[in-house]
Amino acid sequence: MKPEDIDRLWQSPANRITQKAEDIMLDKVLKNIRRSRRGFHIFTGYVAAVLGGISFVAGYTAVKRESFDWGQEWGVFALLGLCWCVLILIRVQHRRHERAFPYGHMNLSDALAAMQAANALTRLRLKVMGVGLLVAVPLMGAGLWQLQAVGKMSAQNVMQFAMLAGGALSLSVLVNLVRYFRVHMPEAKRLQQLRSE
Amino acid sequence: MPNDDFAEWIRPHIGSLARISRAFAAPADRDDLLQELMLSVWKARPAFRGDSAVSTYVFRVAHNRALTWIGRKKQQGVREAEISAQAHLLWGVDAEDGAQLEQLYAAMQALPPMDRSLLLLMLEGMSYADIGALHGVSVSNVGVRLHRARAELNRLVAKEASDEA
Repeated sequence: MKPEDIDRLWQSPANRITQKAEDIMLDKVLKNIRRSRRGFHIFTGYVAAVLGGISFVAGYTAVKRESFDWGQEWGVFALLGLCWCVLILIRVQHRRHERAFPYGHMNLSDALAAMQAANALTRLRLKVMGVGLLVAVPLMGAGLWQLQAVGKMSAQNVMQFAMLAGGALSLSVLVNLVRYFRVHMPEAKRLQQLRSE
Repeated sequence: MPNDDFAEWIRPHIGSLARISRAFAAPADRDDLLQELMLSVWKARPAFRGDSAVSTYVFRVAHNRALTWIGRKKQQGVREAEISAQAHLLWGVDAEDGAQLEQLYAAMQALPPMDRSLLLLMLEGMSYADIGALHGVSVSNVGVRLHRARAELNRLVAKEASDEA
């Protein structure tokens, strides 16, 4: 095929998307955007309603109940405050993420370099988290041993807690290992290959 | 920013995005990649300051996304059958050109992604200077790479044609 044949073929109607297909694709992407927004608003709205209900009951109890001791029962409000902060943070982050394609203003070379840097940072975070989780195991063991030694936990309590926390830690390590080796390492290799091109 | 406004803004470029998805994705994944490209452009639009042509900006975002996109590669056979059954709804009808185009796209997919991107931009009518700016390479480098890529494309198209014959 000669270069002029390729150019002609490229300009031919067979290489043009139909008006109908254009409408369908556009409609689909707009629906996806709306659905994603709606799903997120419903989810955060539901969480806000539940948190609001709990906050109202807690606040009402604190104000109306004479026996309420702020000095000893402030923990629930600290926890609620934390939950509200996280919810607000999630909403703000989602909005930023929803409206941002961080590599739009960069040329391909710079965008690939930025993606590589982001990938390296993610892998570093996973390594730090992995080390943190591994370090947590002996620390937790030491903590449990101390609690048992001073008589604040029975051997059975220690065993149950160790199993529960050990399971959670193992699961976290497993998830991070899978993410590191199955997602981020292949991505790093692919980006490196693209850059070397 | 209302979505209807976005619809009118992106509409003239959907054809180009569809061709990018056709060059970068297997038939079963083309629809997904096209959706992903449109979504990326939607996300990137607020950052558009008008210091380049809209088409240049759209190409930049779309090529950035296409190069780093990974298809699902699941149930390929089943989905390919569905897609080929719907192909006449998506693309202009011309049996002979259609078959040659399939060979052309198959050959393009055999090229390294960066060369594929360069060729696509050239075929879409971008100047070497704009392609260089988009890829972050010099104009002379674009010329050299395109020359090599076109030669390789011709060889691959000829191979595709002889394989099918």
